[in-house]
Amino acid sequence: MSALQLPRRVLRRVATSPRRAVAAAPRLVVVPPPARHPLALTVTSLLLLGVAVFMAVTFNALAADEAVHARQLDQRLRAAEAEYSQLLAEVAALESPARIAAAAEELGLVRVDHPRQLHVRRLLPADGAADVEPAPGERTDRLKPLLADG
Amino acid sequence: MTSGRLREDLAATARPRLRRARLLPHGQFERRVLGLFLVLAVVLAGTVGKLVSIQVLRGEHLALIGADQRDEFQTLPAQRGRLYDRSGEVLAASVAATSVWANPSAFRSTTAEDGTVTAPAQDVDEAVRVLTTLLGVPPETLRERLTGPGDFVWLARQLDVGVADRVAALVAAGDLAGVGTTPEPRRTYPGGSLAAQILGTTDIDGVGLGGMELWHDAQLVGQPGWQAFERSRDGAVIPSGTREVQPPVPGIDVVLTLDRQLQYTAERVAQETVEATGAVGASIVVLEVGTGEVLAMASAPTVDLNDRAALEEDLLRNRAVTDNFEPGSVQKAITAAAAIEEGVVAPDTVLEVADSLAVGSKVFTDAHEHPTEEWTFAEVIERSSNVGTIMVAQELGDERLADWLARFGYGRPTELGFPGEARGQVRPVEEWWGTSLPTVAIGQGVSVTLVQAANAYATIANDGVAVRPHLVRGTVGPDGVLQPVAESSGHRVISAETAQQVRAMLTAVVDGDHGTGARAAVAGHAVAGKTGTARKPRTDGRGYAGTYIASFVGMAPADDPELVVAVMVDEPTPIYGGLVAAPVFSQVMEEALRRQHVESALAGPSLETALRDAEIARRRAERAAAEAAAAAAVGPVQDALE
Repeated sequence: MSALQLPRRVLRRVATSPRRAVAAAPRLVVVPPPARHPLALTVTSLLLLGVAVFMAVTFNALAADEAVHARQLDQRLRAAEAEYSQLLAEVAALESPARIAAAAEELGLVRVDHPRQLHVRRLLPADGAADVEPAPGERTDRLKPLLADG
Repeated sequence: MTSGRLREDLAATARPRLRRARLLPHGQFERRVLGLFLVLAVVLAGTVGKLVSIQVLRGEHLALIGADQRDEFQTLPAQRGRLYDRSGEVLAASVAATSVWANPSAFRSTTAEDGTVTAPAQDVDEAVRVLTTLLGVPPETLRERLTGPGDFVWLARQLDVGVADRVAALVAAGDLAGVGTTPEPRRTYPGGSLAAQILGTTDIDGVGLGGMELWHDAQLVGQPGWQAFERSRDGAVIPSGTREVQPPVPGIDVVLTLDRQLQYTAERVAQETVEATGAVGASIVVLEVGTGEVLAMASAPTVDLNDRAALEEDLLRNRAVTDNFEPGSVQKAITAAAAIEEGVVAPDTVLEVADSLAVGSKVFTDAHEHPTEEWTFAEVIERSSNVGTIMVAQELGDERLADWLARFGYGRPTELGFPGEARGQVRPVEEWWGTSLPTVAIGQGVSVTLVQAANAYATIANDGVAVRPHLVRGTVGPDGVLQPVAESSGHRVISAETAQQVRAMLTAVVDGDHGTGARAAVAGHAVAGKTGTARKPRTDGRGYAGTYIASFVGMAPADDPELVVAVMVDEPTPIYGGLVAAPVFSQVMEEALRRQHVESALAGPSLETALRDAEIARRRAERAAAEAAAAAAVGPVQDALE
């Protein structure tokens, strides 16, 4: 690479100039400027700037994307909560005793004076109904309803 | 490029500049620099001045304008807490809905100061044409609202989200200027009229107006939230803009002690009774003995809570809590309990009872004529003899009877806590006159609410210990865990022996040969209770009208009661409690016993019990057989070892 260098005679003239010698106590020496490569520097700077801008734009876009995603999730959550409440109310309305009674009447069912009900109880270990231990070697499924067992 | 060549190029480049600089007249360069500096200074000063103006002098104002154009603030309504029955069935809930509003100024033409007339942003006729179909609001109503004064008016509230979405789409497309939508949850009652008087209702803004909705409004209402974000000029949300969210805090759910199915049965039976007897109304209370939990509290006639137009104060009145009535012969159980507890009389004490008795200026009679007979006190109660009861009450005396009424909770609210609960009316004993004692002893001249009557009987059912009745089982917060309410410890009113004796007498009322409450019997269970037929006082308080209250309060199973049911029918035909209220009691008690899985003690084991017992027996037999087989197999080996 090249650098600006004055001819030696010029340097010598400057170095031996009586005026300079008188004025400056320390001897002044023309130091050659550091080697520079303007084109590479410019290209590097532009590249760095470009990368920085790209990164900033990308980061901003990513942040915006995440913000949109967060907003969408928030909206989905709220919509899901609203839907859950709606479904809960609809199920309760469908299970309403009055509705079931009306539907039963429409189907031709009639109300009896003294209805009886079967309460199917499970044989759970903590259940008071399961106060009997299985016989040795007996294969039992304690989670099956009592009426279905055997 | 060699270094020599480069030097020449640089020299050639440098020389002309030096020559031009030397050609400038003396001082011109300095002047140019000075001029340039001045220009820059002026520009800089202007810039700084503008900055000061924007940032300092008008900064706040401009910031407000900017924020106004860009910032959007939305209130996020809180989800109102739900009301559940004792099993977690939903009785009241809030669902998503949207309200549609309009800015009437957008439908008005405006005239500027210079007389320029600006056309309205939206044509009224077009808006009315579009909206009347979508919202289901009459066109004339819409027109009136759109052309009214002011800058805000509701067009329709709490619509289904689908309808509101269609309106919002039109607004977004620019076809409906001056119209907007906003989320506004709607309160819904899945059971319609189920427990209407207990649940109460809210106004359209979600504020509790009555019943549980009013009583627990502070817990149910929750805390609204908000969100702030930035919008561009075209209305789109700026994704990277500032966004703040304060999420709403949902209201706390309240779990009631009501059993939905039993409540439905009680309401159905009450309504059928009103229709069958032409009564003004009917009330039923079902209490769980020992806990004081109200399993059902029905009032008829009733109303669908979802039909706001039909809501009337009279239909929303919880008669079992707010209405006083004279209990009539139902009161005799309390008089009997007081007399037995005081040792005045015993169930087997024999009394000589005529069919009439003169006290002061008034003659009290039994419901039916009969010769003077010797009846035990138990027979007096079984036959519901006014004369016999008054004779015992006279032995008890004013002071002691009044004292026992207070101990049984007469004259004060039951601490149920329900809004508008009446306290009943018992005149202070100092104000009693000659006929007060006999009238009060047979349930006239004293009034109670149906809950008070049920609670007094629950004390007898609970072996003499009074427990505070309550309607709320607990609350459920955001963690989903039920926080039960503090239980009442209860206090003893009468001895267990007295309670058992009174229950035995009341059992005879239902299953005795001369009992007035035979129609209260429940198949498979022994029932204890008392009929009541009381004249209604005139509304002006002067004497009695020609109308009656029929009532029945009882408990089952009689030997160890688990439930108390109280029935009151207002102005029925026929008038008698034994004919009108007792059958109601029977139907409701039968369902209540079934719902509570109370097994019949009279009709043998239930199918479930029989199957369970058979299963237990089978397994025991198998185990015994297996053990025997194991012992048989081990025996020879042991013999061989020995």
